[in-house]
Amino acid sequence: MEALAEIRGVTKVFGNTLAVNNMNLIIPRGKIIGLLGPNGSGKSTLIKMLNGLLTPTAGKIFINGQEPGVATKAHVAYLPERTYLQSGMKVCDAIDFFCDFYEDFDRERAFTMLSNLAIPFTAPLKTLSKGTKEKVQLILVMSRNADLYILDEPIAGVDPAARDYILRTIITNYSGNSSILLSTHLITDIENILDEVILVRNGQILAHMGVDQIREEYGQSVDAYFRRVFAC
Amino acid sequence: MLIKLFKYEWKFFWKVPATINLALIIITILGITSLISPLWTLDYDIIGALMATSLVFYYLAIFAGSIAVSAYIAIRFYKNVYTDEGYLTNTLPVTPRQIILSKLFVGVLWTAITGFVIICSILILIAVGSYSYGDNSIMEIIYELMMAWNDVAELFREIGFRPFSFTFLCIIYSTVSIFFSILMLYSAISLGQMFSRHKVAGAIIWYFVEHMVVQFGSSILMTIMGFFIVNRLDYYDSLSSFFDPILILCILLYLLGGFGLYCITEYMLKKKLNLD
Amino acid sequence: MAWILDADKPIYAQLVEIIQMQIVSGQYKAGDKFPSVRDLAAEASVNPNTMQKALAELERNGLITTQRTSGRTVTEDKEMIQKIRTQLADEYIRNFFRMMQKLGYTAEEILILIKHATEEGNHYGSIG
Repeated sequence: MEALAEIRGVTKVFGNTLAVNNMNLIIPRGKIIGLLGPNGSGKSTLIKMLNGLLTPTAGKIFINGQEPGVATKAHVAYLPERTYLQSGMKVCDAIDFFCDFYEDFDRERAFTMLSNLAIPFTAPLKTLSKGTKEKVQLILVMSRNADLYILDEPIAGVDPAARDYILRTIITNYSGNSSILLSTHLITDIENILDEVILVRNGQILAHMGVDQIREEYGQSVDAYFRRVFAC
Repeated sequence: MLIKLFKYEWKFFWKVPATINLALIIITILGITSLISPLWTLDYDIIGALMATSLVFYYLAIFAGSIAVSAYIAIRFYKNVYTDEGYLTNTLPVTPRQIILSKLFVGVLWTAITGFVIICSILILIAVGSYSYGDNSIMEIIYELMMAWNDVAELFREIGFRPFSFTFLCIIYSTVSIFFSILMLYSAISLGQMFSRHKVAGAIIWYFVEHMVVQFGSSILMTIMGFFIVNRLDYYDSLSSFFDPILILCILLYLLGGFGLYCITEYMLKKKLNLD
Repeated sequence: MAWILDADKPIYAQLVEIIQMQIVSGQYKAGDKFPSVRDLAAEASVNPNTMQKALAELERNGLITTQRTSGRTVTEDKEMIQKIRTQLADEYIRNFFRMMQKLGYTAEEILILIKHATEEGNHYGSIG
């Protein structure tokens, strides 16, 4: 089967800064992949390019064999680090919105998750706390049957109980054909749910390995390995 | 998808301009009430000053109303496309063209509605005012004109004025100029994104640059046309053959300019998008 | 509750150990139906592929069998469970003796200590 996503010699330049430097990467299907790297390593630039929010300066990106555009956006579920819902919306408005634009959206699943986290359907978003808003967005994203889920810091702002629920949601909701690319710096919390990790530094891929492979080869957790590699 | 975008754009957009228009309507109703009441016939010195103040206030309210609708169109576009909300707008399975057009149509519609409300407000106040205080002259003239429509039509024919084609062209002209003015806002906001910081300030600078270009262009055009018309005055045997080509030329120029501004906006959204 | 896993050992090997323990200790009895990979992964808060790998390992050593219709079940072979139980016990005892010998106790001293401990069993909570 063809790779889910392929990044072929991609470079992105902002003014004088080289954010991503001739990056090559293949994202396989059916994996939960951690995207790790310090701030400014090119993580978010890469994520934005995968979502068609930035155009590469050079190189090409393919998702399901297509360059980022309408066709790929229909199959990529993206959770940015931002509150991207309009504050005038109610929770159920947001669900209608997703249902209307994404054919792969599962309304039932969304309502189940909302009830499990005790989030009222009719609450206006502006009355919800930041953490709750993040949960709503994650529910919207995970309620899609997408091919590629790109989650940017999905567990940074939520409490431990919700974090466990979210991790369980991620584990149970993705199908064998789809992959999850998860960018985070809280590695310890999510290390056990990852298949592999991609370490990024200075706009380049430093390592792309399985979690157990790192543990077997180096006898340490990915977290410890990460700290060693990126030690200042 | 364009229909869906339009539907949601309308849904999230209508409240603010509707409130503005409601305020304009309330001001108009207040004006009508005061005009019907004998207030203005009272013989106090202050009445004259009050009249002047009311007129200034009314003028400002209408001005503020139309500016506010335009400003909201600009803010909505900026917020929904280029700030945090842009992370959703730009990752929907839609093209930049669909995003721009859906917002453009809603913006044009609300500008047209506001313009219509303002024109009606002014006409109604004039009518009520002249009915209450004047010697009914305006109403009578309108009434007589309507009664003597055949004679009027005859007169128009003599001076070569075709009222229907003129009105039709005016409506098209207004519509096209609304599209143009909104695309000016959109393109300026999009060009403002080229700045790495102070993107809003950048948008305002671009807007003034565009505004100056349009002013400069239209004054040059006026001069050329004026020169042309004075030299060829005998060529125009009728009013409409004088007005209509000018209107058509303006419409074409607006269309051309609007297309250019649209292309700039689409290019920026497609290739130069760079959300913070 | 997520399962408690060590940070520096491969995850899948730890999952094999934990599930083996659950079967041997009777939490899952012989012939019991096993939860799906996904549910088990969610329960443990681990990657489903890793859980899959752990279950495959357990299938290889025969503790778990897969039927086409009813999914995964714990083996009916009680003898085998017993055998693995003995194996594990053996392993723990050997480990225990190794540690105690490191501390400088002889085999006789260790036995006395154990006898002593079982007599005041309640100090050791779950013993007995």
